[in-house]
Parts: sequence; structure tokens; C-alpha cells
Amino acid sequence: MEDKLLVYRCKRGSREALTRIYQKYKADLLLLAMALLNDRSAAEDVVHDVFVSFVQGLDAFRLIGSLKGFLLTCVANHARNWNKAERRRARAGNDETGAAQADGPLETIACNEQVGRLSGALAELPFEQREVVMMHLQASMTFTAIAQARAISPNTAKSRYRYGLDKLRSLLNGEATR
Amino acid sequence: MKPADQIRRLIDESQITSGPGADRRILGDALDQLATRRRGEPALWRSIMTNRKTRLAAAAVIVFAALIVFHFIGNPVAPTLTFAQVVEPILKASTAEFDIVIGGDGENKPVVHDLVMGSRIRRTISGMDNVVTIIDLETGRMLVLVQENKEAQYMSLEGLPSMPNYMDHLKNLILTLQNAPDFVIEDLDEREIDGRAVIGFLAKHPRAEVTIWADAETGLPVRIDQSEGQMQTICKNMEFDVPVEEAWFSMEVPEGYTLQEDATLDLEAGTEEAFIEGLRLLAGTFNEGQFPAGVAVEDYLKQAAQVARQIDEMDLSAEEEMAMGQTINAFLLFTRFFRGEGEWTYQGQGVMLGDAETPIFWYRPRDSETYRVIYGDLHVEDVAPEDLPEPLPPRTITEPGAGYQSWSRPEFVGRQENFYTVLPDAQVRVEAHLTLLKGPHDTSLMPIRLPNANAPLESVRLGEPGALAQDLVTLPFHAIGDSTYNVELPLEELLAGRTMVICQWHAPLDAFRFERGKYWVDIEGLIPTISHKVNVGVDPDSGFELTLPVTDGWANPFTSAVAEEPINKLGRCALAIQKRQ
Repeated sequence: MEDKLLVYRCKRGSREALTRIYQKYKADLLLLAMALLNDRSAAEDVVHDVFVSFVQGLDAFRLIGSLKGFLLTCVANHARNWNKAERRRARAGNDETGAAQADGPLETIACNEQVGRLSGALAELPFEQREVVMMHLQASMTFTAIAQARAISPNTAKSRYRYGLDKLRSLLNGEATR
Repeated sequence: MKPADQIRRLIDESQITSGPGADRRILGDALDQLATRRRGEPALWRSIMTNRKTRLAAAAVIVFAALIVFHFIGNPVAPTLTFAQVVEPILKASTAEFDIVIGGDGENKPVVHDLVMGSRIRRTISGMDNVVTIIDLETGRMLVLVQENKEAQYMSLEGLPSMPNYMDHLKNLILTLQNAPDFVIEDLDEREIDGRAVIGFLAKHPRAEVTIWADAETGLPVRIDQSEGQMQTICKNMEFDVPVEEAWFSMEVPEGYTLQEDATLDLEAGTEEAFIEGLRLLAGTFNEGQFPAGVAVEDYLKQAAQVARQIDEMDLSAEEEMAMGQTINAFLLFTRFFRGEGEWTYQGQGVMLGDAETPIFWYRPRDSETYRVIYGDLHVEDVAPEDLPEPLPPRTITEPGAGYQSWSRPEFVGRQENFYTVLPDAQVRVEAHLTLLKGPHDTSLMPIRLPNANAPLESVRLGEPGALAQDLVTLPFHAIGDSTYNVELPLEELLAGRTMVICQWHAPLDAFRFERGKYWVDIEGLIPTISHKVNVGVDPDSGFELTLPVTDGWANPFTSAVAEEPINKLGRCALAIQKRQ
């Protein structure tokens, strides 16, 4: 019930409640963003945009299910958009991202070695597989829920997950044997 | 290890932290965004109560709060009725119908409407017309019916005193108290309530004051005002032996209703721990992190509808709603069935939850030598009586303090005694003696309102209570509207004890309504007052004489009890004059 009360208090303008939500879930959100994007600056940007959007949409927001699951889905959505934009920039030969990384108020996220291993391994997967793997394993979302969130069929979600894991098996085992 | 488990393990072992820079950026921008959102204003009682989405649990909380009132009426210090005409209809009645208002008269107060037959009460509450509660005192159960969505729920009332028949209980109570030596009865003479001439009797007891008003013509009781400890209730619109149908009191769930899981309301559940949890909930969830204005049942009822609406907005499950309702119930029980010694003190209004320095509530548990003091962060300390917190400027004035005190509220408050003198030219000279008790610290302008239109204020004088006329000093004043004036007060004089302000004006006798052979005067304070007295005298050449006993030339047709909170209007009373025979 705590999350429902926090959301309710946020809707009524409580700074304390919003701060509590941020403190409670920021690590999970940053981890997902890092795992999906393998870029600390981009991860911070994504979590930033998720929180600002969350507040902007508070009036119409109704919490169904878990707040953590909702926020993680938002991170996955924003990360996907960031990834698409990144690909467009790469195709156009535009190196804005690198400039942003150099200038940004970013790099203020500290990660341990496991984060590096996780995001490094996931970076070898297509984005669509990455997000299904993380949404299922980190956010504990069912394939049906992932399918609904991604507008794909549950079978497609399962296939992406299976392909992703197959590739991760070789990546992680290979890494382990090195 | 399976790859899924490997990934899960990596996720579990991953540690990612944001530095102050990231926090400032992410949270800071989100907080800025939050600050720019427009927040809705709290709705008024009526608009809230017409919310058709009120859910069962929230409704039950309100009904339960009112149930406490029922219990209060059944308390051994309930009304005593000492004159036969008033007692008789109650003693003979087998059914009754009345309204209960908690916390005194006033607009937007919830009204509990009860229909009583034997051991059962059919209860509705104003603004919640779709919720009916049947209370069975014999079995200690109540059935809550929400007509809108056809939901029903049984609630067991644990700790309810045995009361097989409510009417019999009330009768026994009256008979027992009729000859109680502690009670003193004072006649209040005639006045008008809801357009009805009534006669009042004030019964005083060390622990309670009860005023009973009976119809002046029929002698039937129509209203009982009652204050006990820190709680006030009004029982009014009383009717006895009203026709009823047994089906109205049935404890069977009507056809088509969905029966919810049974609940229990334990009247013994009012522990200090439960009270603290209620404070945490009310402040943290329903009041923007601030403690509420009050913690008594009547204070909660003032905000109950809003709480119900807020609960409704939270999208809680039925179980979560019920848990929240039980927290509030247990919170209310603590002050309602207070088992400490003496009175409790609450001064948490406006204090922020988490403030470890500010005491918000204290009481002395029975048989304890020390007090329990609850602070704003809800920690509790045992404190010796001599170390108790200094009381803040009181928000209610039950015992007028010595002299004049400034306080943080914006209004002036006092006691008022009016002297009406009927003069030969069909004029009435009015002297309002206003003894000031409290006033704002940041202004010396006191706004006053005269009750009579076309009767301009003539003079304002200041002096010590009981001062002779030659010792009074004149105060400047100026009109600020119809019958309203600003009086310039010398604050240093007030603080020195010169607290009586005498305002004088004249009004034609025909400005006082003449009905049923009497002139009637509206009893209104120039400012909010905690007590009011009306004195009437006649000039020998006026052609009028007094109809009540005279002391020092004055008859006294009206004296109010000391109100817990300042009020402006008290109704009206007859001037106690008639044409000389």
C-alpha cells in the first residue's frame, strides 16, 4: 500500500513523497537503463526523463500493479526511444552523443564490476532481446505483460527472450572460461 | 548455471549509485515539475459527501464515528430531566426519532439521524443518503448497507456495554439521575429554536452540562445540548412514539445485496499505539504532512467526508481500505473512550510530522504519576507534571483566563453582557459590555457588528470590568459598512487590565420583533463570544414593566453557558417586558 499512498501524496504535491519514490527505485531504474544502453550518461538521461514525465502525467496516472514495474517499463520505453535516436544519429554520421557525453553533467553514476559485466554482455544482443530479458528477469514481468507493453505477441516476446538467453549463455560461459 | 540464473545473479549483485549531481538533476527537475502543477482545492463537505463513489469501508468509518455518539448518549452522565412534562414522553415512548449533531451547532456539520425501536437503531448520516446502518444493541452487531452499489457488511461491536433495549436504557438513566444530588438545575426561561418557542433547563454536573429545551406549549422535549469533558453534542428534532415498521430495523441482508466479509469494531482498541498510528496516517496521508486541527471525534467528523473522498482516490483494494478504516477507528477510540486521568491536551495543529522538538499531545494514564507526551515525530516521553510543555495560546476558551491575551488567531474574542433599557419614547438604549479575552497580536483595530440595522453606534468606552462611568475612556471608531465598525483599541491599556469595552446605541422598540405578545431580541455578539447575558430594564415613564424577577433594576431573560468555542449568534429571547397593567 505504501506505493499507492506515495503516488496519492505526489498527486497532492508532496515533495517528500516524490523524493521517497526516487530514493526507493532509482537504483533499479538506473540499472535497467544501464543494462539496456550500456551508457552511463544515457542511463541518467533516461531516468531523468522518466521521472519528469511521471510527474507531468500524475493527474491522469492510476496505479494498477506495482509502481516499480510501471517505472521500469517507462525506463524501457525511454531507453528504446533513445536507442532509436542513437541509431538515426549513427546512420547520419552525427556524433552528437559523444559530444554530449563529454560535456554533460553526467558520469555521476557509479557502477560496480557486475554492472559492467551485465551491460557488456547485454550490449551484444539486439535491443529488442535485451529489453525482454531485463523486463522479465529484473522487473519480473510476465511475457503477456511484456507483449502488451511492446505491442507484440506473447510468442514473439518469448522468442526474443529465448534467443537472447541462448546468446548470453555463450557470452557468459565464454567469459567465465577465459 | 542456467543463463537466466546467471543474469539474475548479476542483477542481484549489481550495485549502481547516483552521485549528488545526478540526484540534483533528476530529482531536482522532477520536484520543479511537481511545483508547477496546479493543485486542486479541497472540496466542501456537501460536495464531497455527494460523491457517489464513496466506498463501503470509508462509509463505515463515518458511521462508526457516529456510533460513538450513540454510546455517549448511553453514558452514565447523560441528560437528566427533572421536570415531569419533559420526562414523561420519554418514559412512555416505545419508539423515538431524533438528530444528533456532534461538535455543536454550525453549518456543514454532519447530522446523524436515528430512528429507534427497542434495541435497534436505524441510522443515516446527512450527505450519505445511500448508506443505512442498522445497529442491534442486544447482539452487539451492526449491518451497514450501501444502497448505491448494493453492498452489505456486518460489523461486530466488541466492548459495547450491554444494552438490550435502548429506550429502556434511556428511561432507566433518567430515573436514576432524576434525584442525583450532584445535579443543579437552572431555569433558562423562554427562547426560540427553529421557529419554536421553547423553555430551557440547564443541568450542571461536575463532569457534564446538559441543557434541555422543551416546547413551551406542549412541554415535549425538542432538543438536548450536552457537553462532557471535551465533547459536545446536540440531540434535536426529537419525536417520540413515531410510527415505524419492523422491516426498517431488520438485520437481514436485503435481496440483491452482496455481503462483504464481516468486520469487527473493538471499542477497547483505543490504545496509545493505535492513536499514534492514526496521527501518522492523518498527518502523513491526509493532511500534507501536518497534524490535523483536532483529534476528537467531532474534529474527525469535520474532515471525515474529505478523508472518504481521498481514500476513494487512492484506488486501494477493499482490504487496504478496511485496514485504513480500522486505523482511523482505533485512533478515534482513544480520545472518545479516554481512560486516562483528567483531560488530554492536543496542540498539534500545523506541526509537521517528524518534528521531534514539538509536543503535540499529552495525557496522564490512570494511576500514573507522570504524563505521556507525544512529539511531532511521534516518539513518546514520560514527563513529570512540573515539566509538562507550556500550553500554546488556546484555540478554545473554556476557562477565561485572567486579563487580555494576544494570540495567533485573527479574531477578537470576549464575553458579552447586554443591557437593554426601555425608554419613554418607545426607544431602547442598548449598552453592550464586552470583556475582551483574546485578540490578534498584530492589529489594534477590532471590527464589531451591531445587531440592529438603522441603529448607529454612538459611543465606545473602555475601562476595567466593573469600573465607574467616570473612569471610562472614550475610544475612537469608524464605520466600515452597514452596522459594522472598526474600534481602535489601545493594546497597552488592554494588557494593563482595562479589558471592558462598552458600546452604546439606541434602537426603536419596533425594531424588535413582536410575536405572541412579546418583543424578541436577537442574541448576537459584537464579536465572537464565549458567553452572553441579556439584561432588561425599564424606565419608570416608559409605560412598560418587567415580567421576570428583578435584581438591582434588571431582569435577566437569557444567560448562556460558557461555550467551548467562540460563536456569534445564539438565537433570540423574549425581552421580558409587557405594557404596564
